[in-house]
Amino acid sequence: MVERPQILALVLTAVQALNEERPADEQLALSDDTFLFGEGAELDSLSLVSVIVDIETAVTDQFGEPISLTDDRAMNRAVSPFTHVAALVDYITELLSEKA
Amino acid sequence: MLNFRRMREEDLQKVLDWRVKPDVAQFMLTEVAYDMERQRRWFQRIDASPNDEYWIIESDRTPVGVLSLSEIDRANRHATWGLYLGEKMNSPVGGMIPVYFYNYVFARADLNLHKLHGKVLENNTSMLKMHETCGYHQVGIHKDHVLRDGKFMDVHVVELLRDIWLAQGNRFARHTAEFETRTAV
Repeated sequence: MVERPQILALVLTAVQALNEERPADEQLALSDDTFLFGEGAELDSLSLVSVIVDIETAVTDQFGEPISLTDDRAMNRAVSPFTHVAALVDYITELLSEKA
Repeated sequence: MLNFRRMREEDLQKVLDWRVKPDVAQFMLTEVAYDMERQRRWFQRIDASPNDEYWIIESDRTPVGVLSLSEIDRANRHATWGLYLGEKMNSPVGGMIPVYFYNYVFARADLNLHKLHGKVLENNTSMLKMHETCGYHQVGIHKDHVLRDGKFMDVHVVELLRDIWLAQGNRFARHTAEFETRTAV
């Protein structure tokens, strides 16, 4: 059973790792509703991909299930899973639930 | 959807406009003047060079940036490369452009590249992270190598071996795109 709080913790850990590489005035909040990518968001596409590749690795390590966040399914969803933290967490939860 | 077409002379104005944008120039090792004549001379040189290839990156057929393969050393089978996005992309697929490029360039039989190498300014942390993700190793750091706005910056020297890239197997294999080659025009 995949617990959403576990996924949220993984995502926030990746965001925190990104923060460590960013200037003090460009830090992302560690929160469910933090904007990640798109209108009004802080991340460019390269920064976003570096975060989601970290998350893919962490999910695989923790749950033993490889997931892809960079495939066409993720990139082309009508409602992007990359807009903010909560949407990404929901998408990862959905992917892992399908594998359960 | 991404595709990569060869740079043409009619792209030069847009390319120069992109290249001098502050959010692009801040990550470049060199600064360029806003000078179209110089830009045309540069293009004539690289267009005629067998050791340089420049593409316009298109997203859904709209130009968004520049990708280059340069200093191709066929004897020693290595080259360097560069990338910048002049337009903001609404899709995160822009962050995967290096991956599309590696899948393309390491598959090119005419080049048979063994290695890509590059230099990255210390402030380009997203690119350094992406390099790490893709299997680059750091050769070294040129300390205080570039003087920008009165401040010295380090330059990271990095390289990616073909075997390291290929060893990643299926992880990035699906990211392939259309690249226009010199022989196709």
